[in-house]
Amino acid sequence: MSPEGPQRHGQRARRWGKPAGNWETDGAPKSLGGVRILDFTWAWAGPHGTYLLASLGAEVIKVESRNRPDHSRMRSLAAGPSYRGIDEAPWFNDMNPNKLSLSIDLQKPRAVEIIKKLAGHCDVVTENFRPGVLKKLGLNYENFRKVKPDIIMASSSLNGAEGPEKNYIGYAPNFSALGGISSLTGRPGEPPSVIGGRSDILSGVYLAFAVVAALCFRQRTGKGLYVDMSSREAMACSAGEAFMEYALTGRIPKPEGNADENMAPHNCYPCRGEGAWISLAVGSEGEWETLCRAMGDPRWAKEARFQSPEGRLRHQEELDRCLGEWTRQWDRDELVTRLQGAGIAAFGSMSNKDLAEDPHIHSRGCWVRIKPSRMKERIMVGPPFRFSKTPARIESPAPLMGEHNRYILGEILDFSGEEIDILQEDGVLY
Amino acid sequence: MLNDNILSGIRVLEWAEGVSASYCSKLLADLGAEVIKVESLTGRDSTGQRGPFSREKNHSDDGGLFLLLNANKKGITLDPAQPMGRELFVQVIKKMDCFVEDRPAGELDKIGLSPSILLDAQPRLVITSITPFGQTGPYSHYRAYPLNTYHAGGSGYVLPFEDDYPEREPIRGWRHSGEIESGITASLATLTAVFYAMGTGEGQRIDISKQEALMNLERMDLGRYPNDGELLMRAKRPFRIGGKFHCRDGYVVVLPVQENQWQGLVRFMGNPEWAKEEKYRDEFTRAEHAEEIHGRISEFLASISKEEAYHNGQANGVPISPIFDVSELLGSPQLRTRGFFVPMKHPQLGTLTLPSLPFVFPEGQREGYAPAPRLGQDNERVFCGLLGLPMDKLDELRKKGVVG
Repeated sequence: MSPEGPQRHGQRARRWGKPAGNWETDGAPKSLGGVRILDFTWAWAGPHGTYLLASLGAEVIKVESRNRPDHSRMRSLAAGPSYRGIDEAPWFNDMNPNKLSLSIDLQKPRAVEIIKKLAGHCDVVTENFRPGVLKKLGLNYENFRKVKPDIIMASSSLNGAEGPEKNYIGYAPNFSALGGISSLTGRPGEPPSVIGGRSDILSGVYLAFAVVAALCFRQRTGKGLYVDMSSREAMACSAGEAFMEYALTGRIPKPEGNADENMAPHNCYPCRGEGAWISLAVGSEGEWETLCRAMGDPRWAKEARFQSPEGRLRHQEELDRCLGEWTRQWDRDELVTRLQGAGIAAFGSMSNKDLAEDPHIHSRGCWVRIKPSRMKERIMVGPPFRFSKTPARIESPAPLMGEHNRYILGEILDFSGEEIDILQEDGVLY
Repeated sequence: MLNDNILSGIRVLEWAEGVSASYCSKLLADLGAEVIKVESLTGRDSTGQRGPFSREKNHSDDGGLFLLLNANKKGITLDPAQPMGRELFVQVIKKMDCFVEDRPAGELDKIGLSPSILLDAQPRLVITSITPFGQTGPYSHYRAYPLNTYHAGGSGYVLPFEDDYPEREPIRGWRHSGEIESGITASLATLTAVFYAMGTGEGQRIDISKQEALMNLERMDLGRYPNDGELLMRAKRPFRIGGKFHCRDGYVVVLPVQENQWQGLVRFMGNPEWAKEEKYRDEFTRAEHAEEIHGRISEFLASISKEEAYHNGQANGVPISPIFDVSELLGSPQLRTRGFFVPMKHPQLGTLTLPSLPFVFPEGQREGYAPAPRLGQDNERVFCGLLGLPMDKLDELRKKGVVG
């Protein structure tokens, strides 16, 4: 397998944007170079997984059709229907950079034949249909193996492909509700919090991980694998410690807000101006003394009840109130600089505006610009890892529907221009 | 074909103080990689000193978090700050495919174990360094506990979701959940670089900033400010339709977004007259009347149980799910069928039930997990067995306080 991978379609290369991150990416090899993925995923959870794999160098062929477009082309849960045209949805664009698009109508038998043929040229198939949907079309793992014996297939769904609840459906907030992590999120003594789109994205990270684990397995053994992932279980992994607590103590853990079982102060405190908060945590007597000095040794901090970790934990509410009176006088960023200078773990509770303007984030090249063909330039958060040799990168915006039909059928499958025209006329490519 | 064979043959050295790095290598261990945890001669890392502890605490020095993070790993004790310890450390590195660490930025260089020295010793080594803010940039030396990191990544500012008291402080996700989420991100990067090294023999260094790993999870919302000038707050009504509802015995989340899901919900509610009104005719008009619809759904759900709402709602094609607590998950027939929970036999604590991985390779069954290693449990096996040190040399190193 060549580390550089196959040359992408020429037209795309000219549209390469600014590389993600600090590393010089020109000519740098890709960790997943040469890996080709046939990607049936849609919405967020699956597409984020294949976006990460694409940022790591895999060639991802996204399969859709105008009969069944990725629904992020049309709406988001948070912002509602936002249909601006199939190639102009911000959600779709931010979720699918670096991918190629094949628009093909799977209801047509000829389309299914083409997909099977294409699978013969792919290393991995990913999908997040409801369990059983692809099988009905004959596009299941067993059939893909017939054309590519060492193929890897990864399915992702709410509950996994087996079990009494396998057909149940849900979006990101359902993943975290069913995974137990919602029941733990919130302020102490108050109702649990819903968790939004991040659950989709987290699920996508696990999916990408499972695919790479299978690639490592294939590299060593020459064998493919089928991976069945449950988004609900991915959320339950974040609650791992709670299962241990229940097993060891019989207690069912509940929301705790910012509190910690050992540390106080350990909370967010108000700063000057509306909506400005600093997170501050003190983990030792030395840090407590340092904080007191930084505050100018106020009288309240000398009270006996605040002189031990146990005392501070017990009188946390009063401690938080006193500390908040002090932090309130400060500009948040000035206070972070001052406290970090003294060795105290303090940092802003960052809004999306704060992160868009933060110098550290900019110095690390976290924001990436992309120019979708039919939209104005967009700014997005780039891949979350820095490799010294094989940098992750964003090279192209999300594809237009069917943008790469000719490349995929012509160059990968050797169809003639005429054959492709006929498929187009017959509505197979749609 | 068993789950724990997937990464057989991959050897990982872990030097971790915090949760993220430990979770990063735990995922590899659960898939069959040989993970060796380096610990200090004097005792456990910071997660080892945390609870939750068993009611009969004297049974074990290890808390639940440590037991969870370190199942299936081997343990050695070694002091790399001493010159002989450093040498031995490099010998161990020569046998490794990965090195996962979370020392403060710059510390490896200071103690003579810089990435370039390690890569000279083992060219195919993948070094994964996990810190709160990454190895470069103005905050790279900032101190942060998990609380600070969570709020640094933009995840805390918008919690609780749909906050009734947005003037109150933002909160973090539960305990170490953010650390675990950074850990899986690091694990993906690590394994990707291992895959590259398998094909090319070339290792490298990966810089993981936990802040960026969390930003990645929030990325769709973070982009709303630079692109649309939209500042996201806790109080914003986040869903155009649906959300969290009170049932008789708890909460459910209902999101009837698409037309067929809405129709399913109407059926589930018994086709009430109000649902036929013109103003509820499509996704767009319903979004305009989301408040009224919210009220109607609330009335309907208030009298039924969450299990009933779950199964009957789903039977009608509605994306609906209870907010389950961990005890309810342990009793879930679905999770049991999938084998999500695995037994771990602990010498003192008996059999504990642990969550495993969120995916299965159906060719095989999950088996039980091995308990977290005792301090220095595998010193002989690693130093003598793997490195080939004679026993008397190990004794000498022990006497000098280099190994435990």
